[in-house]
Amino acid sequence: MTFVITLLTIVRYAVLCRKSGKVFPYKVMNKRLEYVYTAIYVLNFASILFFSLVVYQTTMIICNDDQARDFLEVAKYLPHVPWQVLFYSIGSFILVGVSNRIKKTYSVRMPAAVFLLFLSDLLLVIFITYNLNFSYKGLFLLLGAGAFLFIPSIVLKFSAIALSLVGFIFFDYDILAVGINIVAFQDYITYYDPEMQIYLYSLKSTLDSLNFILIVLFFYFLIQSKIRENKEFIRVNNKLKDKVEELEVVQAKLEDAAKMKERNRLAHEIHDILGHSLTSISTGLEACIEVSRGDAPNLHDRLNNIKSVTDKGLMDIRRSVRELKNDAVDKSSLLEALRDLAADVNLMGKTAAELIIIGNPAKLDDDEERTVYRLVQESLTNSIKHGKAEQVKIEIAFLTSGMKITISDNGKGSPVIVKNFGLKHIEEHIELYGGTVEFHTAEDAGFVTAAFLPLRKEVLSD
Amino acid sequence: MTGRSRSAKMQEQKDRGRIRGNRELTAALFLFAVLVIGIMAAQYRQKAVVIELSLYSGNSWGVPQNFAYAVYDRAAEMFESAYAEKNYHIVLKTGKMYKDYSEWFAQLVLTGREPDVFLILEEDFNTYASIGLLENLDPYIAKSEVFSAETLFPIALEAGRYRAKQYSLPISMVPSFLIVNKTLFEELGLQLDLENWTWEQFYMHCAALTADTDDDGELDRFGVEGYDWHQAFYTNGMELFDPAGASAGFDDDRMIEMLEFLKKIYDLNKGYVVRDGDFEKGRAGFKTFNVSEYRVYGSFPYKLLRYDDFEWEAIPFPSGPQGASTSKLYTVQIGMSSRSSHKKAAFSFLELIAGSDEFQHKIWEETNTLPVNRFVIESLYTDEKVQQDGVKLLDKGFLENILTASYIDPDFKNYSYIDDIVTQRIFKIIAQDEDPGEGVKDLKDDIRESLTYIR
Repeated sequence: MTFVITLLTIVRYAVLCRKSGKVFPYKVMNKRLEYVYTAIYVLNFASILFFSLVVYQTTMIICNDDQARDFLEVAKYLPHVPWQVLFYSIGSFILVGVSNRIKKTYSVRMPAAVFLLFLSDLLLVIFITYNLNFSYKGLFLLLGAGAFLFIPSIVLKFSAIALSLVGFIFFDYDILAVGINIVAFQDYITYYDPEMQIYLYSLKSTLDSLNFILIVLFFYFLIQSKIRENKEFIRVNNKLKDKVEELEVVQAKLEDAAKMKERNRLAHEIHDILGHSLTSISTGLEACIEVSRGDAPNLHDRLNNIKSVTDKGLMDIRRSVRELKNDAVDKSSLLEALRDLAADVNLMGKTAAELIIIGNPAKLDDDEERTVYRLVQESLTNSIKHGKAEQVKIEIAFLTSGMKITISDNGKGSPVIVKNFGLKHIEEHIELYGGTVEFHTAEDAGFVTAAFLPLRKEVLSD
Repeated sequence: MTGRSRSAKMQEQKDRGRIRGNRELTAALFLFAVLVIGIMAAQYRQKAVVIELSLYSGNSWGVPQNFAYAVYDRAAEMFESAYAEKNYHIVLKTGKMYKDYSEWFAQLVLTGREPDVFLILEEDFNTYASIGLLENLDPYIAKSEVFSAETLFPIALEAGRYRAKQYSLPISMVPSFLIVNKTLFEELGLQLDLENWTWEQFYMHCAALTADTDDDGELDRFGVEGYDWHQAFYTNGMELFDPAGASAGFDDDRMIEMLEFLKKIYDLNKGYVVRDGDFEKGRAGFKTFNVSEYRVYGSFPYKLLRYDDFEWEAIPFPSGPQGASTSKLYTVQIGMSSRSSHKKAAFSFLELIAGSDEFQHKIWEETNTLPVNRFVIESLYTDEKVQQDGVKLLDKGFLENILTASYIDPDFKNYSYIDDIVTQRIFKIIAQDEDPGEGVKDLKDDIRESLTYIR
């Protein structure tokens, strides 16, 4: 069963190869098989030579001993003419050899013609077996092995093998002796004295056994080669799958890069154009305020109001630009971005943020970095906005198995945890990467966010 | 056009060119083959058809024949002139004596060099028919316009049949019978009653003939020379094998009768063996005889050499209590090889040799056997030339009777081997005075064993 599946896979592979225009590595694969096949051919040649020479030589000895009449009595049937046995069987076997060469050359190109050649081989082999008194049927095994080697079409291949096996089973002296008048090869051997008989019988069975051994070896190599081909196929297939995955990653990165570029451009434009305009307006307003001081208190107040709105707008724009830049994760590293974040908080003056890094920092995937950054950012915002904390501690610990992120504040805390949209989103992301997030808080006991993100294998192996 | 597609196109053109080249080469080879076959066929037609014929000198009935091959030379001449337009030729392979022929011929068969047509020894016929060396002649006979099996004596034809198929045709035949020393009978005052010619009478005469004439204490006159179990067996209405050839086919009672009769005859001689030539010297009353001897010694000049001191006469074999008179018919058989490449021509030769009246006349003229063609034999009795030559012809009625009643050996492979075994066994029963009932049982066992061994 396994064998058939292996074979089917090979044929599929061959078809795929042909479709894709690749050369099916037929020759290289079958080199070893061909050597064994040649050895089987040579051995069969030796067997034919043995059988026909025994017939020839024994006949000569019988005539020399004047035992021809008695031999005909024992033989029961009209024996083949000795020189014809020798000439016909060797000649036919050489033709089989020539046919094998042709089949090898046209194996893939003309499968039907190769099958026809196989049929003619079958007839030749039957003819040889007939000439050898049906006492040797190893030639059918040679044909069967040849079918595996030379006939690529699966239907034709198995038809050929079935025919060879039928030949192997039925072209047997013991079966045919019932219907066809043939002299037993044994009759020739029994003409000799017992010592010689033992010698000849041993030679005969040695040749038979060797043929079987070589056939077994042939099929062993055949199965081996099919298994190897199958493995190769699976390997190539896996490689292809990996490549596709890599391509998808690259594609995503390219998309990210394009997005980032667009955001950068947007950030720069807002910063340069809108920022510049607002700065000019603010400077202009400052001059106007100075000029209007005392003359028109109303105007002065209004201008002051406009100025503060403008300044606020300018600050908002700067914050937006920074966020745009942060969102694009245009950072040389996560830690740097986190330091910037902490510094921004400290600049505002009301809250003190402290960043603590433990262990050997590892490079994370962009998505992961973004998630960690968002987690810290969201937590800081919450600490300042809702917790009114004076101190926030950001602790990033790089462990062997993963990364531990702890954000703790001394704010007013909360009796219940209400997760806002941003927090939920981050939680989902961390879980997606196989990580966990925990929140600890109580009334007037501050707020602790503790997350764990496992490191990917590539990172670990780096 | 890119470089790659250009090179692909060039390759394609090259391939196409190669295929065209191949086709032209194939066509040329095919034409050449047709030419060679045509020339060979033309030559084959022109070539003479040479048919080989192997012969032996001597025969199974042991009577010498002068110029043994002469009649076959005649056959070859007649055949070649009859088929001159077809360029048929006969080449004779001669030089083997009867006793050496079997092995010599077997060697030719074994090495695939047997001639197209050949004489077949009686002992070889069954073997060669059964192994498939002999061509079945029935289809040829059925198609033949000139040959009719009805013209031949049926029993002579029967000798060439194996398992209901005709494998050989008879050329000539030699019937056998008994001869009696009439002079001796007259001297002893014995009377032959051929109307009531039975074993009993035969034994009585043998008993009367057996004597020690010079009173030296040893027998010197006997009843019969050359009489053995075969004659007794067949005249008591028995068959050696059952029709399937698988076991002994004879009836125990008849066999016991035969053994007792042979024992009586044997006992008469008191252990003395009747030798070849005792009859000739007038020391035996009966002798087994055949047509060949009859033709040689019954007519001038050979008559002077033997059997001239007394009057003698041909008589049938005596019949047993449960059978009728019968005698062995010797035949000369000719067959063709199933491996011959000129079977049609070969059969034409057989047709001539067995069927042509002219050649059958030559058999009478140039051999001391009888033609197998019944019309030729009939014509001899009216032919003045034959009468003038002083040839002693057997009485026509007698000849017809023995020919009709004669037997041939069973068409059974290895028959001669089993025949030897039976002969030895019977001799043992008779000579060692075994109980015939027990002997028959043993004999049957021996035959069964031999048959099993052969198979």
